[in-house]
Amino acid sequence: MHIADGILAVEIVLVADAASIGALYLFGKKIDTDDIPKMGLMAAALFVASLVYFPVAGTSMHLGLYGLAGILLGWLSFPVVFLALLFQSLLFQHGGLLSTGINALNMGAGALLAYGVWSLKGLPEWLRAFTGGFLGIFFAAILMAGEFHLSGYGKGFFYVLAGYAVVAAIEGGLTVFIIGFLRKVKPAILNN
Amino acid sequence: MKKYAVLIVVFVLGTASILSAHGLVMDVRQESPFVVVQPKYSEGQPAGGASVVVRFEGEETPYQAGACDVRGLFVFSPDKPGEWTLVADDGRGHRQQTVVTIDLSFFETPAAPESIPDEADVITREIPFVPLWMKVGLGLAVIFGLTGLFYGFKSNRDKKPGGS
Repeated sequence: MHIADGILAVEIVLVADAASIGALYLFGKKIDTDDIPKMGLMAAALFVASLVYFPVAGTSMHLGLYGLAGILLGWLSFPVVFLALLFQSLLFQHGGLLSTGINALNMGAGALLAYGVWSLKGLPEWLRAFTGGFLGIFFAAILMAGEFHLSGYGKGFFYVLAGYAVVAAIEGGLTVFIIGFLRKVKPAILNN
Repeated sequence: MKKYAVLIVVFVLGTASILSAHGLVMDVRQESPFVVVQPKYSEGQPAGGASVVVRFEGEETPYQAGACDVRGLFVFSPDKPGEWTLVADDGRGHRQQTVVTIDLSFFETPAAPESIPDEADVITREIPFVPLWMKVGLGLAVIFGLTGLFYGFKSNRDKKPGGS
């Protein structure tokens, strides 16, 4: 899920870095003081979640919680995803440091899509939570596999994508559980 | 403020070269006349099927290229002393590069092993030099510290007349 340095062309990586910094600036302007503790907690959760591994389809995959971040933080999930990825890169060597921008764009897009799904009215809450959690990581995986495919890297679009559906399903279930728990103990934290 | 910006840039650039390994770690054992390589994911699962490219220092053309077996093992036999660069890649975005130094004593070992060492014989070379729990603690401390700093900064700015 985390793209390492040296896989995509340097030009693409640098453009993505610039774009993600621009997005950080735009989304950063939306931050209210009251949002900051929630953002810090979510960044810590995302940072640690990547240490929960699953051996799937001959490779190693881990939780991301990008969908949950999108549901709980909305637009503010992007800076949180960026921060978590930065520290995962620096401390766990998950993804390249220069590739933090492209990773943040992929996973941030997943988080924002989850926010979009969560905002849909008329659907049962558990379904919105599951779909948001599922797409949060699976959409990021689709973007990553597409980038690999366009760059001529890897063993094929579907080979790269294989296994992420399993992790996405696990994340969907986990998101339903967490949202259900939050609905009971602290419903005010949910946006709607 | 500029002072902190410079410090951050220096920190990032300074750590970029030593922290450019990702997701995979590489176990390497010299077992003359072979070098046994085993790329593993961060939590220890062998990266079976991962490709490995071996180059001698300064040479563009690979000395050997191939794929790990199902146990994640890859073996090559260097033909001269020097620095050998190994790049392992699982084709899913995980990549690791490491340099193995082969000295003359490697070639002076008289007896070749009768068989390629088994997975159990491969000695794990600990690439991470900081324990994981310490990295987790450090990361959480910095994240919460930044959260507190940012919260204080925003609170103070909000209190000022005309602050947003």
